[in-house]
Amino acid sequence: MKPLTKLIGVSKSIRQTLLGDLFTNKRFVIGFTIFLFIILLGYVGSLFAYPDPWKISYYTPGGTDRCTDDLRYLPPSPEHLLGTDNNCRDIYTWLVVGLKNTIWIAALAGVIGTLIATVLGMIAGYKGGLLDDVINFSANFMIVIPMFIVLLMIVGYVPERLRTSMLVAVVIGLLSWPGPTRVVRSMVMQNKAADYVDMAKLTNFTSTEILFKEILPNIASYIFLIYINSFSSAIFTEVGIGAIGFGPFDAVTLGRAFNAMLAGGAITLGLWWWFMSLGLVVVFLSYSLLLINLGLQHVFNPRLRFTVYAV
Amino acid sequence: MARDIVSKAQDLRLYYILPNNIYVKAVDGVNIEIPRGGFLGLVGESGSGKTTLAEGLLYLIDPPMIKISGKIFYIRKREGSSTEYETIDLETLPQHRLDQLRGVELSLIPQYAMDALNPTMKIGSFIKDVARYHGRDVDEILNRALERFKLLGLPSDILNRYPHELSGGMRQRTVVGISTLLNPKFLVADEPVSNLDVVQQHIVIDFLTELVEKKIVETLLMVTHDLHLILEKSRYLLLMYGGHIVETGSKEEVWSEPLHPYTKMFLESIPPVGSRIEEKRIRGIPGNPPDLRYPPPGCRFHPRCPFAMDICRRKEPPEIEVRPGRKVKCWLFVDRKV
Amino acid sequence: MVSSFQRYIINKTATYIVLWFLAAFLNFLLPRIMPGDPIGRYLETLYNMGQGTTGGIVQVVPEAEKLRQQVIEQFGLDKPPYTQFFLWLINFLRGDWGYSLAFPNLPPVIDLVKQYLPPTLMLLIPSLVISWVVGNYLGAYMALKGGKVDKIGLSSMQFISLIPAYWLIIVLVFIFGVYYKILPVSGKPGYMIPSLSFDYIKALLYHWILPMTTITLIGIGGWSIGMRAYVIYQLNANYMKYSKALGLPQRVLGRYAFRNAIIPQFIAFAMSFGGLFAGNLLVEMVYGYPGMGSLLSMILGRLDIFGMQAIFTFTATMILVANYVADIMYGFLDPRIRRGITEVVE
Ligand SMILES: Nc1ncnc2c1ncn2[C@@H]1O[C@H](COP(=O)(O)OP(=O)(O)OP(=O)(O)O)[C@@H](O)[C@H]1O
Ligand code: SF4
Ligand SMILES: [Mg+2]
Repeated sequence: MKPLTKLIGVSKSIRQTLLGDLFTNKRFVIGFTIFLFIILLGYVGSLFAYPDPWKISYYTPGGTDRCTDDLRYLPPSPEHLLGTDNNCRDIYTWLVVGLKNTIWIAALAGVIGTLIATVLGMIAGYKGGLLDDVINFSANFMIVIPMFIVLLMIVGYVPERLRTSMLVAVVIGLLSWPGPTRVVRSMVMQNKAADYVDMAKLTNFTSTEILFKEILPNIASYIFLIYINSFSSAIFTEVGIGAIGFGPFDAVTLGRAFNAMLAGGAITLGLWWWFMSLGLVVVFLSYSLLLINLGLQHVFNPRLRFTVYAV
Repeated sequence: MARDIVSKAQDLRLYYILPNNIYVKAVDGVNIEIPRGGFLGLVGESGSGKTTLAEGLLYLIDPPMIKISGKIFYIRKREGSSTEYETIDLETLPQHRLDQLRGVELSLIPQYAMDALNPTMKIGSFIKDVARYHGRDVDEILNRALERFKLLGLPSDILNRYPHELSGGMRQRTVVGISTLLNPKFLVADEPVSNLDVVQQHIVIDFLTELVEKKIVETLLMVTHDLHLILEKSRYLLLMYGGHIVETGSKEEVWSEPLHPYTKMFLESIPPVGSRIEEKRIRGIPGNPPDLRYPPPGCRFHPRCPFAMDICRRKEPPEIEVRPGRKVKCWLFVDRKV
Repeated sequence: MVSSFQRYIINKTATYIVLWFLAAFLNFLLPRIMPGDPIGRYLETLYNMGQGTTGGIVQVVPEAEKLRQQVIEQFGLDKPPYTQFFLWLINFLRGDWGYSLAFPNLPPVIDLVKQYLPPTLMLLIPSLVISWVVGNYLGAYMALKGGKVDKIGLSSMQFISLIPAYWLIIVLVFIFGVYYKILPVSGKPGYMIPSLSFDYIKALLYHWILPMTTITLIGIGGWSIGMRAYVIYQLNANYMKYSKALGLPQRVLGRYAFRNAIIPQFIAFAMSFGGLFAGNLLVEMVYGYPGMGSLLSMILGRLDIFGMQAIFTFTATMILVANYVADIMYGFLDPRIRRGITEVVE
C-alpha cells in the first residue's frame, strides 16, 4: 500500500521547491561554499601533502631521517606550505590529514548519535507511557552533565593503545543522543496528532508502519538538520579532547595536530601560521555548518530551535 | 460628511507575506466608510479577511502583514469644538500620537482574546499599566474595571490573578472588559463571543449593547460570521468576500433587498434559529472560498456565482454606489447606477 | 497539606538526589569496567613508588607502603562490589576522597581541590555574570532594534560563539603576550606556591585576565543569541499585539518582552555552569592557569584513578546543584509553576 503522505502529496510539494529555495538562500549558499572549500582542502589538498605525516622532513638533501635543528621550525615555503614543527614534520600534511580524519570521525559520530536519537525519539514520542518516561528521564539526565566531562572520564580511563579513532567516534556518538532525542520525540508527538496519521490509523496500518511510512518521511528533513548539528559538535569535541592529548591514538586528527602545536610551543615562538591555520579551519568548518543548518531551517521552515553544543 | 463617518479606508491592500515570498492577499483594494454611531456588523466567511481589515482600521500592521497600498483614516471631533471634525491619517501620525489614540478612542477586542494577556502579569498590574500610560488615574480605572468585570460575571479577585488562573471564557471576558475600559469612541470587536457558551455569549453581547446604548462606546463594529447576532443587533452591514468588501448598506436594505449574489446566497443560507448542527452544515454556499494566495481573476466570487458572466471572469467588478452608503461590487449593477 | 509549589520542590529534590546517585554510581562503575585494571594499576604505581630510590620519592617509601594497605582497607577493595560502592560513597560524602598519584607527595585529593578550585571559581563566576549581563543586553537590543543592527549583530555573535575557547586564548596570548608583551604567555603565576598571600593573588590576577577575557567573549556570543531569540518570540506573542492595540508605548512593550524573555535566561544562567566549567577546563589546560583544568590535566596524565573519580564526582555534584538551584528558581520566577502548573513552556 502506498504511504498516505504520498497520496496527499505532503512531501512531494516540499521536494519540488526545496532545491530551488536552497540555492537562492544566501546563508545556505555561503555556508555550502565554505564547507565545500574545506572538504576540498582535505581531499584535494592531501594530494600536495607528504604521504606520511610521521616522517620527518622529506625534502632533506641526502634523505636523512634525523631531525636536526636546521630542519626544525622552518617557516612556510613551497616545500612546506606551513613550515615544519619541532619534530621536523610537515605542518601542512598534519593539517590536511588531520582534517580528513576528523571529518571522518565526526561523520561517524554524527551517524551514531542521530541514529540513536531517531530510534529513541520515535519510540518515546509515539509509544508514550513508561518507555517514554524512561527515555525522557535519561535524556534529561545526560543533558545536565556536560558530555565533555563524561567523555574525558571515559577516554581518561581507557588505556592509550585502545583509544582508536573508531572508539572515539563511537563514544562521541553514544554520548550525543540526548538533545536530539528530545527534538525527535517532540516532533513525533506533534506529527502523531496530524491528520494523515489519523487516516493511517483508520486504514489499519500497524504502528510500525505508521512510524516508518508516515511519520519518518515527514520528519526526515529535521533529522538531517540534527545530523548536521551533531556532526558539527562532534568536530568540536574531537578537537577539544585531542588538543589536550586524549584524542585517538592511532591517527593524526585535527585534535592531535592541535596538541602537537601546543606541545611544539607555536605560541611562544610566535609561529602564527601554525595555530592560525588549525584554528581557522575548525572555526570556518563549524561556521559553514551553522550557515548550512540555518539555511536549511529557513527552507524547511520549522519552528524549532537547535542549540549548538559548544565545548 | 465627516461627522457621519468614524473610520475610512481607501484602496487598502493588506497582504501577508509567507516565507517563500508568496503573498496572501487578505485585504485587496478595499474602500469603505464606516458610519458613525451604533452597532455595525462586518460579516463574511472564514478567511475572507475580516480580521485583517479590522486590525488595519487600527493601523495594527506588523509583519508578516504588510500594507501594499492605501490610506486609513480615523475621524473624530476636534478637541475643544463641538461641531468641527478632523480626519486623521493614521499612517502619517507619529507613533506616540497613534499610541494615545489606541485603547482610548480606537479600541480592539481581538479574535485571539483567549491568549491576549501577558502570562506573567496579574490582570490588575496590566490594567494599571494601561491606565498609567494613558495618563489616567490608576485607582479610578481599577475601580471601574472591578465594576465592569462584575457586569461581565467575573470573580471579584480577578485583579489579583494571573491569566493562566482563569478559564478560557473568563480570559475572553476579561479582554472584553479591558478593551472597553477607557470608553473608546470606536470599538472593533472581532468575534468577541466565538469561544463562549450561550450564557456567556449573552452576558458579553448585553454588556456591549449597553455600552453602545449608553453612548459610552459611540460606534461598535462587530466582526462575525454569526448572521443571527448581526441581524438582531446591528443597523448597518458590511459584507466581505475573498479580501473584498462586496456590499454595504443599512441592515434593512441589505436584508430586504440584497444586491450582490454572494449576499443573497449568504442570507438564504442562514439556518432558522434552533436548527440542529447537521442542518446548518448542509446549507451554505456551494463551492469553496478562494485561496487568497492565488485569487481567481476578475470577480473573486465568479467560480461560485450562478450569475457569472464572461466579463466577471476577466475583469474585477467596480464598486457601484447605488445610494449614499449603499455600495455593491458586482458587474450586474454597472448599468443600474442611479 | 502540601501546596503544589511545595510538591514541585519535593519532586525536584527527589529527582536530583536520584540523579546524583546515578552520577556517582557511573563514576564508581566506569573505572571498574574499563579494560585493564585501573585499581590494580593504582596500587602498582603506589608500590613502584615505594620501591623507588630516586630523589624526593625516597622519602615517601614507607608512607607509600602504608598507604597501600590503607587504600585497600579504606575503599574496601576486598569486599563485594555494592559494599565497595557504599563505602566509597560514604567516604566521598565525608570528604575522604583518597590520595592523588599525580603528585610525588601523594596529597589527599580533597586538599588539591581546595587549592585549585578557587582560581577556577574566580574565573567562572565573574565571567558568567559579565557575559550574562552583557549578552542579554546585547541580545535584547538586537531583537528590539531589528533591521541591520540585528542582522550584523546576530551574524557576528554566531561567529564568536563558534570559536573554540581553547583556540581563542591562543590567539589572545599571541597578540598580548608574544607580540605586545603586556600580558603573561602562560597562566602559571611563576613558581609561587598557591596561597592567599597578597603577592600570590596579585600574580594570579595578572594571569587571570586572558582566560577571563576569552570565556567572557565567547559567553557573550551565546547569551546574546539566546536572548535575542527569546525576545523575538515574546515580541511575536499575541499578548504583545494586544498590548500594542491598547496603545501601550514601544518602551513598555520592550519591557514586557525583556521581562518574559529573561525568565528562561535566569534558569539558563545556573544551568550553563556545567558547560562553562567543562569548556573552561580546556582553556585552563592550554594556558596553564592553576585551576581545576590544570589539576584535571595532571590527574588525567598520571591516570590517577582516585583523583579522577573524586574530581568527576565533585564536578557532577556541582553541576547538579547548579541545575537544582535553576529548577527551584524557575519555580519562583514563573507564576505558572509557583501556582502549581508543572508543565512549562520551554
Ligand atoms: N499571520 C498570517 N500569515 C499568513 N496568512 C495569514 C495570517 N493571518 C491570516 N492569514 C490569511 O489571510 C486570510 C484572511 O485572514 P483573516 O484572519 O483576516 O480572515 P477572517 O475573515 O478573520 O477569518 P475568520 O472568520 O476565520 O477569523 C486567510 O486566508 C488567512 O489564511
Ligand atoms: S461580478 Fe459577476 S461573478 Fe461576481 S458576483 Fe457579480 S455577477 Fe457574480
Ligand atoms: Mg478573523
